[in-house]
Amino acid sequence: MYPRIRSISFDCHDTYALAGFWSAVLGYARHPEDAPGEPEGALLPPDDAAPNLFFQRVPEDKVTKNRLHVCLEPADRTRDEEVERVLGLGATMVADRRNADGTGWAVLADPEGNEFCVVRSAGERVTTTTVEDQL
Amino acid sequence: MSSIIHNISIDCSDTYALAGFWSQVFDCPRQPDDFPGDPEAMLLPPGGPEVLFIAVPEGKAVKNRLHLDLQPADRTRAEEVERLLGIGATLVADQVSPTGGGWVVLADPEGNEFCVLGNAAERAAAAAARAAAAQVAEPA
Repeated sequence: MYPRIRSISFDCHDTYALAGFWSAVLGYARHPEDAPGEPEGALLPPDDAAPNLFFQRVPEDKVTKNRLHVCLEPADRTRDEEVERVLGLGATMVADRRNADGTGWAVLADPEGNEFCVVRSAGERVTTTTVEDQL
Repeated sequence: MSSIIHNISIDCSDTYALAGFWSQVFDCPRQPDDFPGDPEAMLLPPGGPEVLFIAVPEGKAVKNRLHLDLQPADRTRAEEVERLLGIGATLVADQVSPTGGGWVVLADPEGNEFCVLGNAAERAAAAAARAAAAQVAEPA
């Protein structure tokens, strides 16, 4: 009936390297035809119905904060553990919005500067009772 | 393991209006607690993920680095583009290829670019056309 989100597309300089980072973050597989130097790349989620990630090479640099970004929820570890893991994969910290009471999120950037957030895991969020505190 | 995508966030000026446009794109309802003037609005499109609209003071200045690609279900790409233009999208660029692949670049009412791909049948036909053309081009 109505369209679905097929891909989240990233403009970038190095499709292969950036896809490599996001593959490690999300556990998505590279498209079998992807190779270094290609103008396009794709990552495929384990669930075929979920959006894939698409990377296309562009000449221009990122110049301002992105209007769209993704927020990630750790599947099997805490938010703080996931922040450490993605920093180890090549992310950088942009703004740490984690609060002393355990709420909040971290704003990071991928190796090409695209901002993304790491929010609390589902298990960490159930301990909060405020309606506004969704993240 | 790894992280899952909890939501896509879209910076905007008017969360209520922009969520209204995208709710018509996906045919999903507004959240009952979203009102005009709210700092955030949220949609749950079928197939996911959640889309969160966040009010920010700055306007859009350059082409977005991230964008969404939509795949029509039972409408053709052309039909879907016409429908979206009718509900407030604007045409940015028609990048449909001669073999029927490619996409049309549109913008939402706040200028955020998004692409409309072919539906599954159109994509399969375009792939077959490309494969046939590649065979013809191959030296014997």
